[in-house]
Amino acid sequence: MTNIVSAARPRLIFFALAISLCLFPRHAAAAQSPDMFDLIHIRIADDAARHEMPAARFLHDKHTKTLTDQNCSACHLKEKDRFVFKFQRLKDGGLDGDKRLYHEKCAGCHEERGKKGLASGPFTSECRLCHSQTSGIQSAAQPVAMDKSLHYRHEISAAIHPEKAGEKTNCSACHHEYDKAIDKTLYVKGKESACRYCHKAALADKTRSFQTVAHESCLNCHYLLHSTKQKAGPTDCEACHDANRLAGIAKVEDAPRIKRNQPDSVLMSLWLKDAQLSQKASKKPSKQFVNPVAFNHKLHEAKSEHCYICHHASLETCGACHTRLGSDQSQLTRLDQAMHSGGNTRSCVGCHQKQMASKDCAGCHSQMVKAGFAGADCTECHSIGKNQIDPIPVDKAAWTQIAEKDVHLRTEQRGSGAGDQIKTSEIPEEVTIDVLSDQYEGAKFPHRKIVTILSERIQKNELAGHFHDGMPTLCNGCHHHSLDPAAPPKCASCHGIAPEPELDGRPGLKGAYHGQCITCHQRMGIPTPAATDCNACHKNRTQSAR
Amino acid sequence: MGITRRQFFGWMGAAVGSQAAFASQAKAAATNHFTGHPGSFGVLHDISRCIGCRKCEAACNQVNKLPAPEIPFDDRAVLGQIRRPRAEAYTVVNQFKPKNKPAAVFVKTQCNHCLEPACVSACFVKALTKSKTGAVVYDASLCVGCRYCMIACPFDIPAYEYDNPFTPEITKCTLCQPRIEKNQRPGCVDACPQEALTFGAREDLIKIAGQRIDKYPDRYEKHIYGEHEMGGCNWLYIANAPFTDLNMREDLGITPAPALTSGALAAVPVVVSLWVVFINGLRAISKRKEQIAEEEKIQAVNAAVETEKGRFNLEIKQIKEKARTEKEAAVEKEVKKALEAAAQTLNEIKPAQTTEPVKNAETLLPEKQENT
Repeated sequence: MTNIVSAARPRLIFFALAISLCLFPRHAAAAQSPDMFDLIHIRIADDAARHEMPAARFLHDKHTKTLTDQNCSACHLKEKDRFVFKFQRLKDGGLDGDKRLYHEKCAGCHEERGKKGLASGPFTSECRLCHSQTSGIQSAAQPVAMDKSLHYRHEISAAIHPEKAGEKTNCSACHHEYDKAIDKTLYVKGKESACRYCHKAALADKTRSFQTVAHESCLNCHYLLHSTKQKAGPTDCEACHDANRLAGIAKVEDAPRIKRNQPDSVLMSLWLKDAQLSQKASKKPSKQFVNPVAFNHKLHEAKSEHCYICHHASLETCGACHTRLGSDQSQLTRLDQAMHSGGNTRSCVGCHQKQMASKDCAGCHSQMVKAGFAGADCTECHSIGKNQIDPIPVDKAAWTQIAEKDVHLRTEQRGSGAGDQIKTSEIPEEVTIDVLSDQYEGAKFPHRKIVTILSERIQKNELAGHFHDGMPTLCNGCHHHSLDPAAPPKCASCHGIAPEPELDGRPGLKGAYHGQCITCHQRMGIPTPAATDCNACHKNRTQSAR
Repeated sequence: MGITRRQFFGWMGAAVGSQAAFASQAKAAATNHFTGHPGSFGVLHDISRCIGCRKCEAACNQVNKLPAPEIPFDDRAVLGQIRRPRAEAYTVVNQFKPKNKPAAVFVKTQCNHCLEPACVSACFVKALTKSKTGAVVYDASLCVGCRYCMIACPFDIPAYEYDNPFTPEITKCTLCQPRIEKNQRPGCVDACPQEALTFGAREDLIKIAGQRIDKYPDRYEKHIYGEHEMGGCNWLYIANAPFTDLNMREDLGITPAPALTSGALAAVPVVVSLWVVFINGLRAISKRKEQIAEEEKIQAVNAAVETEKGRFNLEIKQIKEKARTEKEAAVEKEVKKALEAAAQTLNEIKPAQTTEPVKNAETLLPEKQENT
């Protein structure tokens, strides 16, 4: 018998393998588990080359809910009355030490609960249940940021006390600066800024990561208040990291401006500043450089939720790092690049371009070719004429005054109809487009209605109102490339009906009409008329007489 | 000398390997990079413009005089399922909802009219041919219905008239070859209201596609599908979503389908003609050698047998001779002894008669007989 088995063993093994591979799929089809907001990847940062397993996946809320007393001390140790949100330790102990700690404490607790018959997690021997890459759990956690309303609520909260009693504001409760000389953090009034300026995404030198400090600061305070039965923010992951829950946080509409001595109007000009500081320079403004910009800081502040959208590295003036040639601090990004580069919300032009992608604007702007500087009108922003700065103002107050005057003038002019206007009566009420009529009757286009709606939307938006002040610019949205927008030529003048495609990318007439109208509706999110509802725009022709 | 089976296989393996290695460099398709017949036409499908109205399907149906469909072309509910071209539908429009995209994306699918088509390569009766206009043309009169083209096509396009038992045909987009020859555009291109389809020379279309991607970088994926896939196609696509989200395979590579097989195929005539001769020659030599060896062996054996036999006989003769002489000697000895004994006796008996001893006893004996 043994002879037969040993002779046939390779065959037996082969068949056993083949059948087992067929019966038991190698990848368990990942059941679509719900999105989790509390997923933490535990990976000991030390010595990555020695890692044998992928990161362990840990669901925090699940554990806090199970260990029902919501007491952080179940897993976290305290240092100076504040929880350190590392697991069961105050300091990292290296790969070996921490690995042992995690295995003993995590799996140990699981095993204890398992012995008592309670639902628990995996044991030490079930490595891949924690160190799993295909568990199907998706993290839907959104990053949290403190918006103006939330900041204001913290500002006025009586439960948050400043560091030193007697201070008028409680800013010192959270804001601090790091003093290198004494190697301490301390509060400096007037220098409060965003945590992210120092606390970056990862641990750097002695500066802990933003994730670490944010959780430690916020959660410790919330926990403390909860434990004294006061109303405070949440201590579980979902409440902040679930976008829906975050949106449900009570909002203070029109929270007052953060008091940080920020200006209302700023005169922005690097060369002007250099000229002002230099004693030897003549008092006449240079003809070589571009006109200064009068920047409406107040308006822009009101439009942004966070200062760090523009002030991305610090609250200093842009020119401190973004010099004419770029500096080491700015990674050689020059001032002109910083102000004008597209695709980046930190730059003026970039942020404006992003606004143009919003639904109100995208109808026309998505169809416009991405333009460079050629043809752009720089004086839309660089509006301070040289005569206004002749002679070069000396003190800061004079500077601010020049900027304020210009901003004020612009604000008044916007939407007042100071630019070129076309009388409503001159805009045709309805235009019948029947040049290509074949299967369908001509399309009846409600021209005036559409122009009026767009015009109203523009007036409501300061950015659009500034750049589109005056009807002709708006006309160019559809009547593009026309010399006189008030008297635009027929579309068929340039969009022909040719069998050969135009090599410059111009669509034919049919494509131009449909593309223009349908794309605008799609980008603006207008559901009717639907693109495929042909009869909504042009009815079927009953007799097809050609 | 013979060649063992193991040795034979060893040589064959080496020969096949070297043949394939060398043959893969000497074939028409791969040494040149075919970029299409000059001036050949194609169609550029701008997926971002397609609205899924299915007018292209209706036009194709009308132009090719196909039977009316069960579900009319203005029914957009069919877009709920992914369809592929079938016997009465040379082209279909499918709807996709890629993640991170608010709106649905529509893609028109049909024969891509590859520059070096797999179906043309697979067809051994030349029913499918690549024409100079760029279209891949099907001739039903040559088709044998093997459906190798359906297996070969990397895009799964050719469809088959399974419902037609007697004269089934392969069906696929024809690029409206008859219309092109009359300087008209394909039916689908004319019908599309959004100009999602552009007809023109392939070089021009690539230029136009590149321009569109450059002009609207936020809209398009930076890839012209069909420019290089499977060696290039006459039907090009640009899209506002990743192609893999639109059921368009990006894992096909840029090697044209014929180049994948031409190495092995080029080896076939060589194998069939030369190898047969050489292998038979080897066999003949081997067999002849064996035969000669056999003959020599027989000869040697016979000779040895003969020699042995001769020697054997000689020996026997010698032994016999020896035996005879010995026997004779023995007999003589005995006779002599007997005579001496007789003489003795005689001497004893007859001492009175004479004093003369009998000297010659022999004379008393009768005539000696000759012994043999």
